[in-house]
Amino acid sequence: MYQASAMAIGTLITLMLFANGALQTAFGTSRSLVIIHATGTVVLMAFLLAQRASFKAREHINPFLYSAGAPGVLLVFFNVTTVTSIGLTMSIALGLVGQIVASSVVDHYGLFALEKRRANIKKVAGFALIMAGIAVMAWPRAES
Amino acid sequence: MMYLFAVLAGCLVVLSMVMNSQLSRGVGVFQGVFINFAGGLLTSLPVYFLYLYFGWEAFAETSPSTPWYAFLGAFLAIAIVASCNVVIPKIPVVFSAVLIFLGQIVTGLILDAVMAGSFDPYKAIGALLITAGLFVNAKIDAESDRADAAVGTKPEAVGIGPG
Repeated sequence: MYQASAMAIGTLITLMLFANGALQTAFGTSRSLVIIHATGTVVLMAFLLAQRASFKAREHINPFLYSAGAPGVLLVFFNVTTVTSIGLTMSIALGLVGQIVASSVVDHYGLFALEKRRANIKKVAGFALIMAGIAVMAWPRAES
Repeated sequence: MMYLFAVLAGCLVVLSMVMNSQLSRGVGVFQGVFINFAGGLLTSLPVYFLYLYFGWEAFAETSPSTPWYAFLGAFLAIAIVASCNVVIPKIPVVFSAVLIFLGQIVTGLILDAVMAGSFDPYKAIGALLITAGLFVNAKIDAESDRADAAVGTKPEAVGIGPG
C-alpha cells in the first residue's frame, strides 16, 4: 500500500514539473517564478492562519536555513527551462544523476552536520547502468 | 546546456531537501514550507525586475491562453511535502527513492508521449535501465546497512538519497 503511495508521490512530482512548464510557456520564465512562489506563499499563509499555527522556533536552528527559498528559486528556474526544452523524461533522468552526485558528496563528507556516510565503491555498478540508460535516451536518431 | 541545467537541478533538489528538512525540524513542517515559499517570492521578485530592466525576456502583448493546470504547481508542491511526511517513514528509505523515481519517470514518459503525440521507445528503454541501476544500488545500500547493524555501528538509514 505504502509502496503505491511512494510511486504516487513520484507522479505528483512529475505533474508539478509539467504544470510549472506549462506556466513558463504561457507567462515566460521570470513571471512564472513569481507566480509559483506567490501562490505557495498565499496558500500556506491561509492554511497556517486557519490552523492557528505557531511560528515560534521549537529548537535553535542555524539562521542560514531560513534562506532555503533562494536555492529553491534557482531550482524552479532550472526545472521550467529544462522541462520545456528537453522534455520531462530527460530532465528527470538527468536530475537523478545530479541528486546521486550531490547526495554522495553530502553523505561522504558529512556536510550540513549530517552523519558521515562513506561512499560505497560497489555502487559504481548501479551508476553505470543509470548512465547507460541516459545514453540510450539521448541516443541520436532520426526525428520521429 | 539544458543537460547541464537538468543535472544542476538535481543537485539543488538535494540542497533544498537538506535545508528544508532541517528547517522543518526547527519550526514545523508547514511553517518550514511557508518560509521556503516566502523566501522564494522575495528572491524571485528581484529576479523578475532584473529580467524587466535588462529586457532578457520579451513578453507577448496578448498572453496565450493558459491551461488551468498551469497554476497547480505550488499546490502540488505542498501536496508532495505533506504526503512525503506520511509515506516516507513507513517504507525502507533506500527503496522509497526507487519507488518515487519509478512513479516520476513513468508519468514523465506518459506525459511526454501525450505532448509529442508519439511514444519514444528509446526513452522507455533508458528509463528501464536507470530504474534497474537505482534498484541495484538500493540493494547494495540495504546490505551495507545490515552489515553495519551487525557490527553494532548505528546505521544512518535516513539518507537524503534521490527522491
